[in-house]
Amino acid sequence: MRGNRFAGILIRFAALFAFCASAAIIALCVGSGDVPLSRIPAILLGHGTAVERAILMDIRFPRIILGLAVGGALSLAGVILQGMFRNPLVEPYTLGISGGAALGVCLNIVFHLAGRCGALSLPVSGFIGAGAAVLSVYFLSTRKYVMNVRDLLLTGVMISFICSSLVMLVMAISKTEDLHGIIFWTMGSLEEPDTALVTLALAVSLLALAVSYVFSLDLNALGLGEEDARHLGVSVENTKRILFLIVSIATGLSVSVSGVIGFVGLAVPHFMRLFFGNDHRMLLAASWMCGGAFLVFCDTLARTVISPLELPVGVITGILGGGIFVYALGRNTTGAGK
Amino acid sequence: MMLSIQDLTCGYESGFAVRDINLTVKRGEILGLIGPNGCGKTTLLRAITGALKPSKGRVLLENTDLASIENKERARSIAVVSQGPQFASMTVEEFVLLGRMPYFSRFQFLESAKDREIANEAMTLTDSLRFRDHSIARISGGEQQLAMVARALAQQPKLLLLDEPTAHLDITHQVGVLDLVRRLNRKFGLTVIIVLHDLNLAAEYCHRMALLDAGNLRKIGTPEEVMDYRIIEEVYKTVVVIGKNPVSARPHVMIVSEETRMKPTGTISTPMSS
Amino acid sequence: MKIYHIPAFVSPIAALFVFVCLVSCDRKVSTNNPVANDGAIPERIVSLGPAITEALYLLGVQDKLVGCTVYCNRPADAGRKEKVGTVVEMNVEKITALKPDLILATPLTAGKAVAKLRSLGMNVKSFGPADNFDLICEQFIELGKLTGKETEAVSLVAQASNRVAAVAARVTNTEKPGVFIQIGTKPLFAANRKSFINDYAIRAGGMNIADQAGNDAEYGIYSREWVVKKNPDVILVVAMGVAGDAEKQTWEAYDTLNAVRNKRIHVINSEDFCSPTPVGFARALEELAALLHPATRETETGK
Repeated sequence: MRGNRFAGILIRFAALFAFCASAAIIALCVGSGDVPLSRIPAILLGHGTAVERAILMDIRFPRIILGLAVGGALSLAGVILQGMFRNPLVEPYTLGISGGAALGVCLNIVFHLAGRCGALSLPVSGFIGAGAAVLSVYFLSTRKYVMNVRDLLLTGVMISFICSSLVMLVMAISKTEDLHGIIFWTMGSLEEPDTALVTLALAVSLLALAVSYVFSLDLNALGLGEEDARHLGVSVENTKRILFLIVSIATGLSVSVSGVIGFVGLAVPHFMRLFFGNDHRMLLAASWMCGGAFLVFCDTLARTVISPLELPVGVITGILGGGIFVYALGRNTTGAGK
Repeated sequence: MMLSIQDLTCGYESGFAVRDINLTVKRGEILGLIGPNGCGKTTLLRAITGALKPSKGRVLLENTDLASIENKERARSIAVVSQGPQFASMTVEEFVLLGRMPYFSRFQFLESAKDREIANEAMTLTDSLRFRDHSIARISGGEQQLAMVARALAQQPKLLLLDEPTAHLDITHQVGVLDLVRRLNRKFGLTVIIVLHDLNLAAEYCHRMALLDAGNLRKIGTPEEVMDYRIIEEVYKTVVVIGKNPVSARPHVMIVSEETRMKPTGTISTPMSS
Repeated sequence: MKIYHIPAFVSPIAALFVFVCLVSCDRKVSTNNPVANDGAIPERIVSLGPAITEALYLLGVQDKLVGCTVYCNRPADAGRKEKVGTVVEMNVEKITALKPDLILATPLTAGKAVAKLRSLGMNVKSFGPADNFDLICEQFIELGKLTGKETEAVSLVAQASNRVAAVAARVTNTEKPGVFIQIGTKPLFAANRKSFINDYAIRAGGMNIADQAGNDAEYGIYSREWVVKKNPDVILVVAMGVAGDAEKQTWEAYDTLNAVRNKRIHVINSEDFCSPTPVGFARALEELAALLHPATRETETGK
């Protein structure tokens, strides 16, 4: 019986991997550049024209990498937070991260820092903004070194609201070009000209996945309640802090590089629970892979549905993600813990 | 000596729940913690599990101060069976396997064959093998308690703490769980501290009982010593009669209801009016 | 949190920051280089703004235009060109596939798209904001240089300047009516000093009541109360169709306004007014002058 179960898990992971691979392949083959399918293998081997190579390797490929990195990071953050908080409605943005990043980027655009400090200052401002928001949420909800999970959620939501209002304030008094810049950044996009940043995003995303595995069993134990987890020898406060740090960095970086892409962190973990149950030792990797593939797939849709116009990828993830969430919730009768 | 509690005073922001407690738990005994609601039994238990830090005094586990023992190490010696019910979504087997966590190395997250063996043994001892693949949230309250004891056993503890294990159970399952605990105590010499609200169950199964009253240790001793009607009436503020269980000869508390308290002249006397 | 927890929290963030700064030194430009750039006259041009598209047609290089935005529909022929995106968001892939040797961007073009195109080795010319007629003319001439049509550009600019000067002459000695130029309804957006719409107003012999010193934004949000207090003589609603008429009706409720009493609320077609070339500016200016100073209206010699 054990063998059967193991085989079942293997099959599901294989299917997930196939989903990832096909999302990436489709994304590579499809686009407004009208590169014929038959030519793609040749181009990959180096035989295509400069334009074709540019389209495939310099435009589509970085988007796929960034999609995997950001989708993976956001889904990972979502599954970790849902495990920590034992609350199915939590997603990475609930901690105020997106609000803080939006405010940071907003201020950068309005003060034209990109012109003075280089294009990299934009994601850095976003990251600093996200960090500031997260730290304030942390300090406001920690009493006597104990991280109160319920306060964390409430404070996160409040900080989010405050940041959004501040962003709107800045938008109201800013110039037209700046305004457009802020709005489109907020809508989220996988278009990132700096390949170093894309590589960084992927590295951090994979690192977050690796480190979180050390705490995968702790997350299982936390599902029983913090008190019970402590009885089993889990250093609850330490674990919460480190997981919180992982989530903050992964989400903060993702938001800084690609803007606010919603629903990936909320819907994908729920969907994965239908197939893998609640064991985080499987959920972490599964969520990462599914989230990455899902975002790549949504991005492909976003840039082909009304070609040559591109929809913001957040629109597609919202519609598809929302639909998946409702479906998964309906199917998952046991729910995700208390 | 298994556990020694010395001058323990601890509690919450609103006030101290237990004061100046001194008690020693002998190796291999079953000690019952009893007392009315709010007397501090749960607080005392939490001080032993390390969830609460003492404001004054200390708790020694085999001569080592608990405060100096790391969480994981403590979990290898002390296992806790908390009150149900459980809502987590995992199978009973996965639930019991979590009991092996204190023995995993820093970066380990997969159990070994030996861990599975120990878990199996724990489930065999607690007669929970039959529902090993069921979800822990879906089995009955009594079965959940058995699973929780199995998980505690998987921790291979020296000291077993049970926090009102019989609270939501019917008498069949109450007796089932407590019989199991006594069996484990006899077979493995497992020291047990059990918080119970039911005095008769405590008297039936415990070697010694500790009676708490408003944060103080009122009396500690054998069931016969503690179940003296004067003491019980004083602490519980109600009228009782202490008899004997006809089969086991252990003390047995019998309540005196309002009607039976009515004197022949028709007036009602209560201990409150004295 | 114990004191040693703070460095534990901050150091990974700091390390990341440092890493990012270091990594920023290595900026690769793609080696694929889809289009060679040797400074010759461009043969394949992509325009990312309606004004630029119109300007290219005026300069006579429309045959070289291979792609423009979905909003480029003047003249009508531009509607038939390949579309590469909106004014703000570009489809980089589509642009690359068109193999342009010159890409013309506006201040509204997304910075990331411009950076991406440049990193692919393409030639992108980014035009800054044109706040007034003089800047519009400067940019037009620059466009002429880029496309090898400098002489045509200079001549067109001269013609437009003459028309503008003529309008200025007509209105110099007239009284300047207070003008409120509204470009949005909810909220009430109006043109400030630093927008080219303000330039229209001044050259047409009006005074923009929203001309506030120290307000660097081109457009600002105003309250109707403030407008009523300032009491402009003319209100121009720059909008299209139904929205404009609805707004006109809204203003008519405030009968203390000079503009309302003298029935000088005009709805102006935004397409005519916004995104102008020098020629377009001159034409729109003549219309505006006619609205502000009806007495000076002359028969148009050519439109």
